[in-house]
Parts: sequence; structure tokens; C-alpha cells
Amino acid sequence: MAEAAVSGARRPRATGATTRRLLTNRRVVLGGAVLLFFALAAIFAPLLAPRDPVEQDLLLQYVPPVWSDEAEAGYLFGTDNLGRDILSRLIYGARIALFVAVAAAAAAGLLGTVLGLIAGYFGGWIDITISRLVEIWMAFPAVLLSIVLVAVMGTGLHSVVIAIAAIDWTRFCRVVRAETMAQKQQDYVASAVTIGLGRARILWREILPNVVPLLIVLFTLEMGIAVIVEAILSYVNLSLASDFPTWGGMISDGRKYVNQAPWLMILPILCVIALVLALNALGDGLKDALDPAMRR
Amino acid sequence: MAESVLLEAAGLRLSLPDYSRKPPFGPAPPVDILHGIDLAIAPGDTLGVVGESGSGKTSLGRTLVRLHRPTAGRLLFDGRDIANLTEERLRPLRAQFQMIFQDPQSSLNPRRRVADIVAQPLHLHGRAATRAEARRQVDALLERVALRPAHGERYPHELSGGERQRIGIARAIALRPRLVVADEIVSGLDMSSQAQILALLRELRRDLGLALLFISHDLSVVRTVCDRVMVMLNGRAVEQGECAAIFASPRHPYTRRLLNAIPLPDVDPGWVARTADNQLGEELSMNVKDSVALVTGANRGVGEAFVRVLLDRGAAKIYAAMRSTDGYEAPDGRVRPLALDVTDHGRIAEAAAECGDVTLLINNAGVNRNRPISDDDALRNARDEMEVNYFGTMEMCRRFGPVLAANGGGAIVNMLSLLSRVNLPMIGTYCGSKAAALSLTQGVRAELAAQGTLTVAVMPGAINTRMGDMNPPPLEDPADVANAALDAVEAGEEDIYPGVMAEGVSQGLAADAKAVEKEFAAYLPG
Amino acid sequence: MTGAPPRDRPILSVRDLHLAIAGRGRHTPILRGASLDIAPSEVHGLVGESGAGKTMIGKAVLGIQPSPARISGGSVLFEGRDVTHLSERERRALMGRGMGLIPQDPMTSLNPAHRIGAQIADVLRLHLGMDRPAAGARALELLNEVHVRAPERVLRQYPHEISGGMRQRVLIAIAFACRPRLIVADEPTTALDVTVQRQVLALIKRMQAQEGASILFVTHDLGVVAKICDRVTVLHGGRVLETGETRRIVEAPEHDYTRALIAATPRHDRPGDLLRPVPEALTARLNAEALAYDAAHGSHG
Repeated sequence: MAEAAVSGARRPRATGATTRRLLTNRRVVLGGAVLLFFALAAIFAPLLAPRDPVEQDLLLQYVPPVWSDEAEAGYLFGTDNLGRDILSRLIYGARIALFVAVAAAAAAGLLGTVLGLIAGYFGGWIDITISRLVEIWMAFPAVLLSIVLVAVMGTGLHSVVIAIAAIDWTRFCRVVRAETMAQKQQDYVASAVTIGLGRARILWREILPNVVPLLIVLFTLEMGIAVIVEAILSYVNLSLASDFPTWGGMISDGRKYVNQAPWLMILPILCVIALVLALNALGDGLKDALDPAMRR
Repeated sequence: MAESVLLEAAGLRLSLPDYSRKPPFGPAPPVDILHGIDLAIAPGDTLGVVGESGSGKTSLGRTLVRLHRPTAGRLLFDGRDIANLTEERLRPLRAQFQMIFQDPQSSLNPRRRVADIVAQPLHLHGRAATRAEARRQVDALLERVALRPAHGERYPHELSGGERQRIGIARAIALRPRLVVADEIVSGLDMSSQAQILALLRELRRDLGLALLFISHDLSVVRTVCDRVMVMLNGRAVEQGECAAIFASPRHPYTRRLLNAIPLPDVDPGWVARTADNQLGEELSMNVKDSVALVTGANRGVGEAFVRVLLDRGAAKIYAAMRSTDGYEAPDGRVRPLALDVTDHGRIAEAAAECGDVTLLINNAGVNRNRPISDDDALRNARDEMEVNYFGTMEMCRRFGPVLAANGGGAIVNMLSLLSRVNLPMIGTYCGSKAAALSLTQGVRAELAAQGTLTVAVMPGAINTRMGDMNPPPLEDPADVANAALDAVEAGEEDIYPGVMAEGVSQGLAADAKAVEKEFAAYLPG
Repeated sequence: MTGAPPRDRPILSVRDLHLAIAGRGRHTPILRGASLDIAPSEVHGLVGESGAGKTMIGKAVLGIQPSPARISGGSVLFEGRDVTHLSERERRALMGRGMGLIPQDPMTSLNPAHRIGAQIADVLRLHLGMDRPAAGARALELLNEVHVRAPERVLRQYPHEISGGMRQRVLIAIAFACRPRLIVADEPTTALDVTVQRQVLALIKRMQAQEGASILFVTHDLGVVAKICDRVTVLHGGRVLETGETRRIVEAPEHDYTRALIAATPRHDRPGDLLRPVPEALTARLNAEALAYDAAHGSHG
């Protein structure tokens, strides 16, 4: 073809190029690896955990981690004030953290995306109504609101998920609305109108696929937020019963013994930090890696 | 043409919300994009639409395929008014008129393969029962636009600009439409891709009998594709007709300027130098819409026509100045009567202070004592004429100059007369006053241009008003003259000769001034 | 003009320039031994289609390594000095008084956060060491020279408050601000309306004549070339196909490709001529020649 440059090189295929961009992005690879590590731990918790996470052994209280001189064999990260195995508790804690993260992000994402798409595409009074709702919603302090919600609904995993989703759908809604409005300006939408495509099909079949890369990024970042909120809620004892192994609950318990057994608090904090950092890095990396594919 | 018109627009207007001026509460105010477009396209016809950025040509194209809903006017497709059809009612008709977009990058969904993009309209309109049938048609369409079936497997971003535009064309012709609107479809392409696409378009037209509305900023491209052309400026069609006629002798000054600005690939070292000094600068021009105008002598004749035309063209406010406002009824809430005698210089200064928002000054007031020099009162008559026609105009320019500058430049229209260039017997003093006013206008133009003010001199022939009815025909309609003057303001023209007679005389003057003078001398009455 | 080379010597000499995008085992040549000379006070057109490498030559002349491409051979001599491997500091010293740039896109080439006056004055202060008042006064003078109406007002305005044509005038003023000996104009009128283009071309030509600067005028438009350039170089696939006086190139082109380009250019005064696209056979031949060149020269670097 005359317009093909004399480069000799074929342009790469879309899917292959995106995969390559993902795999060469440092943040995607690192964040993804850490996330995978926690995910595997969570999925195979019953196989991986050396002990029952709630089993108490009052003869083996405050056993320090393995790097200490007073460590006990078989207790990698030591035990807590009730002699429970910390490694096992951390592994089961990952289960809860990731379950909450995925469920809450999915619920928030679903609600926010649907409302955002509708507001962005239809505009007018629909947009005004949804946007005002979002603004009013966002005026409440997030953590306080979630505490109030859980307090009203009662503690428990489902309450935590619902509370996080009920607060953070606005994040999805705003971003998806803006992106939908931008996509709507693109001529491929005008072109879909001229061939006679209906509104619903334009929204779901034409615009939505172009919003998906953004959704993946948002979803990842939202998981990080959910991990923190869950930790906060269990820290204030609004998540699960206190003997159930949650990272936030472990931090809360450990705080009381921070002088004689600092690892009780430090280890779950490190887990929260590692997972949240990994999710944020993954989200940022995905944003870079997926964005050009979407625009080009 | 009446029976074989495929698409016809009459008085098509479009306004869209202007988000840049949206108040914090409440909806964005509308901005007028198209001001009454008339056009007709017969089956198999090609109409080129030419204009620069902001001319409204793209909005026109989008309105014709009903991506926008016109605010007023009729839009007949195959005899049926589609201007106000709902999207649902429109959908079955859409197969018959398609659009090719300017930017194939944005007009092809980046998440779909080329074959899906081209097949989509086929599935939607039930033109392909099975997948295999659709695929067969897609391959045929790709071949039609000189691509290979293998291109169907790619994504849009894997194609070159020219290839992408071919996909846009393939999709547009997939439903075998009767009309295609092509919006700047070659503007982003190289010369050779452009030539290929244009050749392809010509072929398709011939083979499929397509009617084509071809929108472009490039007159040369339009010339190679179209039979007829329409030139747009600020949402109006300033000129429309057969290409051969318009390119040979463009009537509208804007068309002439567009043509002159095109650099043809001929060596011409003087071309650049011929860009006159006064054109080196930023073009001065302004939109009549939303302007605040002041018209002198606004209660009758051309002045009255100016008020009406200004209202029609969306002026925000019009000061209708006249010697006495007694008995004057403003035709619209936007018109403010203003008592102003242009021979009263103190009053002019006051008016300039009162009307601090004026952006468009129309010096229309004039007087013609219509007496020969042998008249007993010749000196007094001559002084009266000079007082209004020359000093009045001068003083208005002087006092309102700073007002216009403060409002961003604006424009002054001085209504003169053909008689400022050529003299009619028996009214020599009048001709003298107009000639003086023309010299004044041309003399202060540069001075005013430095502050960003455009100064237009309008030299009409005889106008059909009480003042002009003793003149020889043809008589011009005052509204036409007012429209021509406002067109000049929008196009940034400086000296205009509106009407057939004025244009003829100005060409005659350029060719042989003495002959014109002799001809005019023959109008000696009696 | 101390230190300026004598009139017969070229002010700019691009010698056998090779440039390629390399990495991940791939080596994609962009420029294949391109050469051109520009005499003092000459307006030299560089014509080609997208992918021809004309913008890359412009960048290399300005001493910019056009990432991700890399100069893999040859030299760019500006007043006898190779500018292809300058440090950032040396390059900055060269800009302004040595070279200026008129960019393609007047929309993105001015900083939206600063007033026009400050952006012109910054250039003067940086390269000529002027103090604030002197730079302000000279900025006003420059705007007058590029025929900006009401220049005092424009100095106080932000880029978004003025039209595209006016922005391009401001960029021309900045390019000529320090009286450079060479200006690289990279498609300076492509983004403009045709009536504005004519004014801007006239302005560039007038400023060039007044200052005696040379211009490397990068464009895809043969019409513009015919009107403003003294000499032309035709580029395809990173190779110079022919170079010569504008009149000779336009009226008696030697290379088939130049002829094909002229035949592909639409013109409103000859409606009878059907546009002839560049023949596929010719494009194929040129591509084959380019690949043969690569094979013969191996990969540079």
C-alpha cells in the first residue's frame, strides 16, 4: 500500500501488544506478583496454614517469631496473647481481606458503573439527578459513614462489604460518567447512530467496551481501599467476632501487648501495607499499560 | 429540479448549547450555528460545501444526516420531512443516508475488528441472514474500497490513515445508501492517499449512483470532486452554484479571498509579496450575532432595514438613533430608541458616554439636498450635506472609536454611495460630500485597525427608498444592502459595492473610469 | 554577525544522516543517508509524505535526539559544527541566537499558564540576558513586527484568549526574537485556515528577508513550497530523491516520485485534470530501493 511507511515491520496485533505492555510494566509485574502471593495464600489457606487459626494454647503465649532467640520450632511468626499461631491467623486474615476487597469493589463497581454510564450517556435531568446524588453522598465522611452503616446493619462480613460498596460506588460513578461523556463525543458513537443502532446497544455494545480498561484500573485501586476500610472496621471491632482472624482485629489486639510482643501488631500491619501497596502499584501500572491501547 | 430532489433543506437553522457560557446554575445558553441554510441535492448529484473553521460546515453535514435536530427549517429526504422525526421513526430511513467522518481514528470503534465494524450495519438492517453471508458481503465491500479480506481481521489502530478512511467508506456504502455526507474525509491524509481516496469516491459515485455532499476546507479538492459548490461563512451560505461558474467568476468577496489564498503548486515568487500590507495583520472581522449595534438614521430607509436585519441576525441590542424619537415604535425589545442628531457634536459625545457597550457602529444618516450648483442656496445646501455626510460621520467615528476599542475593537460601517466614486450631474455637492466621507473612511482605517476596529465603506447604487426613488434603476432592496454590509463585517471586507449596479460600476471604474464618468454625465435630467 | 560563515559556504549541512528506531532486536531505519545544504538567507523546502522522515531531519537539525529513534550515522553541521551529539547545555546555548523553531501546532506550543508577554520575554532574558523592562519593550516591538493588532493587550493575554492565527504569529515572534541565523519551520501553517495561512506565510517570508535568516521549511504541501521556498529537497522513505531550485523541481521534476506528487496535488484551476494517485508500482519500487539500501549498508550503530 502506498500509505504504508517503508518500515518493513508489521504493526503488532492488538492483544499481543497489550499483553506485552502489561508484562513489561514493572509495577504491573511486581504488584501482580504480590497480589497473586496473597491470593494463593487465601485460596489454599486450609492447606497452607500449619494450625487452626482460632485454636488457643495458653501454654505457648507470646512465642516470638523465628528470628528471635526464644523462638519455638513450628511457630514461624510466633504466637499471640492466647497462644494462637500468628502465621495461620495471617493466612486466614488474607482470606477475609481479599474476599472483602473483591466483593466490595465488585459491588461498588457494578452500582457506580451502571449509574455512571447512564448519567454520562443520557445527560440532561438524568445526569443532574445522579450527579447531585453523588455529590450529596460524597459530602459525608467516608469512614464515619461506614461505621454508622455497620453499626446499624450489625457486624459481620456482609455488612462490611455492603458498607464499603454503599460508600465507594460514587468513585466509580464519577469517573465512569466522565469517561462515558468523553467517549460519547467520539465519532464512532455518531457513526453507530447513523447506521441506526439503538441507544441501549450503543451504550452497552459500543461505549462500555471502551470504558472497561478504566474499570479494571478503578477496580484494582478500589480493592486497596477496601482492604484498608476492612482493617479499620475490624480494628474498631465492627467487622467479625474478635476471635476470627482479621488483620485489623489482629492489629487491634496486638496494640494492647505492643510492649512485650511488638510482632503481634507489626506483622498484620506489614501485611496490610504490602497488599495495599501491591494493589496501588498494580492499578497505576495498569493505567499506564492499558491506556494507550484504549486511545490508539 | 422539483421532482428529482433527493435531499432538500430550506431555512435550516441549528443552535447548540454553549457550555463555555453556562451559568453556575441553569442550562447552557444556546449559540446559533446555522442561520437558515437552503440547499437541494438531486440523486447522483455532488454538492461541495466549503468553509473555514467555525463556518458551520461540519454542523451542517451532521444536521443533514440528523445527528443534530435542526432548531428550525425543513429538511426533506425523498420528499419526507425528517427534521423533527424521533430517533425511532428515523431508524428505518437511516440506511438511505450515511456519513463518512473526518477522523477515521475516532469514528471506528477501537475495540472492534474491521470486519465487525463493516458487518454491523448489515446485521442491523437485516441485509445478511447468516454470518457467512455477512462475511461474504464484508469481503466484497473491502474489495470495493481496494482492501484485502485480511484487513477484516485487524483492529482500526493497526491500519494506516488511508486504510482506515477506506473502512469508513466501506461501512458508509454497506447499506447501499442514496446519499453520503463526507465530512473532511481527506484532510488528515497525505497527497497520495488523498488522491487515492478521491479517485475511489469518484468511482463509487459512478458505480452506485450516489448523491454526495462533500464537505471540505479545500476548494481545490472540492473542484475535483463536485459539480456544485456552496461557500459557507459564519453559519451562512454566502454563495452557491455550479462549480464552473463560481470558480470562474466568484461573486462574493469571501469566495474570492478564499480562492486567492490557495497556494497552487506554481512557482510565483511574487505571490507572498502580493499579500498586501494591510492583510499581513490579523484579519479584522466580527460576528453580527450578539453584537451591540448603533444605527444612525434608523427610523427610515436603509437605517430601518439595518435594524430589522440586525434583529434577524441575532444582535444583542440595537440603539436606533434618529433626530427625534417622537412617534418611533421599537419593533423589538432589543431595540433602544436614541435621540441623536449627528450634526449636534455635543450630543454625540453624550451618546458615546451613554452607549458604552456598542461594538458595531453603523453610520447610515445622510442627507441629499438634491440641488444643482446653480441653485440660490447652493452654499447652504453644500454645507448641510457636508455637516451630516462628512462631519457627522467623522464625529461619530471620533467619539465612538474609544468605545469600540474598550469593547475589543468591533467594527464601523460607513454607508456611503456609489456617488463617492463617480458623479451624477445636478447633485455635485452631494457627490462631493460622499467623496469626502470615503476619503475619510479610507484615511482613518489604518488608525482604527491599530486598535482592532474594522472599518467598512459601503458604496451601494440606487436604493429603493424615498431618498433614492428619483434615481435611475435598477433599485436595490434596502434589506439586501444591509445584509451585504453585515456580511462584509463578518468577512472582514473593507470596501464593498453591493448590488448589480454598484458592482458593475466599480468594475467599470477599474477598467475605464473616464467612460463611466461620461455615461453618468448622460443622466442629465431634462 | 561575527563568526558567520562566508556566503558561499552553507550555513547548514546535513551529511549522510542515518537515523533508526532500534530496540528489542528490531532495527527500523527512518533516515537512510539523507543529505542537504542550506545557504545563508535561503528558504529551503523539505517535502515528503508522512513517514518520509522530514520531521526527524528537523529535530536532528535542532540537536534533538528524536526518542525513541537514534542517530546512527552521519552529521548535521551548523556553521561548520556538528550538532548531532551536543549536551543539553550546549544545545540550549545554540538555540535562540543560533537557531529558532516555528512549531506545527500553535495550540500546544505555548504554555497555557503564562501570559504571552512573559513567554516572549523569557526567551529574550534567557538567550540575550536582557533585563525585565528591556525584554518587555522588545516583546512589544516583536508583536508589532508580526502585525499583531493591539499588541499591548495581547502581551497581557493568555494563549487560550487569542485565535490560532494570532498564536502562530506569537510563535513566529518567539522564533525570530533572538535574531537566529537558522529557523526550522515544522509544518507551520498546516493547522491554519487557508486565508490565515497566506498571511502567516507572508509574515514568515517578510521576517526572513528582514533578518536575513535561513529557513528549513518542512511541509507536505507542494503549493506552499512553490510560493515560499528558494530550493527544495524531496524526501521519501528517509532518502533524498532529488534536490534543486524550486522552479526546476516544480516545472521539470527529474524523479518519478516528484512528478507523481505533483500529479496527485489537486488544483482548482484545472478541473479537467483527474488526480492521479502515486502509482503503486512506483511506491513498491521506492520501498524496494529503500530495503536494498538497508541491505547494502547494514545496520548502523
